[in-house]
Amino acid sequence: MEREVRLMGIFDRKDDTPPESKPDFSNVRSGGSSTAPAASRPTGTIGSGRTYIVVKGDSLSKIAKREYGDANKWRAIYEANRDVINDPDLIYPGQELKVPGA
Amino acid sequence: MHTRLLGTSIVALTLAAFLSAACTRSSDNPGATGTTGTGVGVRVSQIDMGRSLTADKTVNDNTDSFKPNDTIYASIATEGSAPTATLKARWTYQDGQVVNESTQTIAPTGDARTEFHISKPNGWPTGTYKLEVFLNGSSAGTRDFDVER
Repeated sequence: MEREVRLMGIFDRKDDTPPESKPDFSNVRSGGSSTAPAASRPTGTIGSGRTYIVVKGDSLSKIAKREYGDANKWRAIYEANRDVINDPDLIYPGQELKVPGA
Repeated sequence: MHTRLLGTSIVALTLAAFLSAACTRSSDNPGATGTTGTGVGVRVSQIDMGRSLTADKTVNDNTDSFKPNDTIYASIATEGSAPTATLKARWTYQDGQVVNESTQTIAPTGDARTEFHISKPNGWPTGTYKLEVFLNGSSAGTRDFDVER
């Protein structure tokens, strides 16, 4: 009986290729820039926070210091932007970050 | 009296129909895409894709076919001016997975080029992708492209 089941399993398969796994895009890096002037200051509201456009030389700590007055609050910005930040040490000019509760 | 009322009604109905038709044509105008409601308008006029950019943010090699190790650039031309305009690029894979989504808020004062780029250190999976560009939250155009070995 066990043999029958195994044989049926073999014949049920359409081909010998393994099922395709879903591609992983978690390490995609992105950036951007414009010939138009950037609206470099916070430009709007998202939920209870604001948005901030990263400029050259920024780090999450610097942004936290500027927005909250406390560089140690960088993690709050990181957590709010996990969809666009893969590595908290890597942010790019032109990225728009949510600044929660600022 | 009845004749005068009837005449007035016909004129009013004709005017209403004319205005309605005029409004419909205005909203169907593709040039209205992405315009703000403030009287100051910005619209996306062109979306180009390539592997590299010039200094003025146009692509060197307009293409819709890429290799797995390419950095993929999208150059978006906008016309018009506004105190703020938000451009968003959403890149999706053939299975609908969102590959990346990024936003830039610009203050254009005329014709401008805004570029978005994506890269993947361990290479892009082969297949078909789509870039959709949004201006102030509304879709302003799409481009399909392939990654092939």
